[in-house]
Amino acid sequence: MNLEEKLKSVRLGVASDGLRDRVLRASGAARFERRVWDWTAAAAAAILVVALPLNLGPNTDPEPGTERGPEENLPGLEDAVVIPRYSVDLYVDPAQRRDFEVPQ
Amino acid sequence: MDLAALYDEWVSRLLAYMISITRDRHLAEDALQNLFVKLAVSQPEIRNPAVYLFRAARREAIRSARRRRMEPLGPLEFLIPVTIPGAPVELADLTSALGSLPPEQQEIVILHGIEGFTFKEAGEIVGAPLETVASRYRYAIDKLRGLLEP
Repeated sequence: MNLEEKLKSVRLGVASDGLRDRVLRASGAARFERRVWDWTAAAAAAILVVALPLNLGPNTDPEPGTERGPEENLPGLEDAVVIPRYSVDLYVDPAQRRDFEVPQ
Repeated sequence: MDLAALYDEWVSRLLAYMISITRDRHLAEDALQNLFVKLAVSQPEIRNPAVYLFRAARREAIRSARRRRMEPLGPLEFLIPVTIPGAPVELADLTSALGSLPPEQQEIVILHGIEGFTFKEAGEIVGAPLETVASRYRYAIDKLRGLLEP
């Protein structure tokens, strides 16, 4: 028998007793997990498809009859004096510092 | 995809092939399980099951084998005799001779010489051009002749 015939006289093969249940159980569990994930993703997508057109988010629209935003509608706000807010880095001439002192 | 049917048809050959790569029965079993878990999750469309499964099995086995040092192939059992009248085969001698080959030559002998894949199919499985596969086979056969033929 030459070498090529020797090679043809064998084939790959090994006993695999006890392995079948383990492999198929792990495969089944992985497939189930994947299906659960797919269902969850599909359900989330369906909820978004329904919820977005209904505009179920927080209502930020102005009150009826007012075009201004809600914070501009506080009573008396139109009479308030607007005081600009200065930076703490504002340069102050030491000679003028007393003008800024708060009276005790 | 019927995984149970796929398993029953292919497990013996795939596990043996993975043992020849990992040189470790337990690593090969873990790699086989990983392979079937991936098949279960991805459910690929398989046109040529033999080439697809051997290629995927090789990938998983190599991934597993990298985590451990390589053991000698000699004492491992992964070949079974095919009944040919008047042709008794010394499996131990053949396995030992295969184990003396470099891994890339050894797998081509297993795929082409033993399993009967064409050079083109073997190239698809190992990810090498046809000419490379044929060249590896020729070198391997020359070495095996020196070892097995008086």
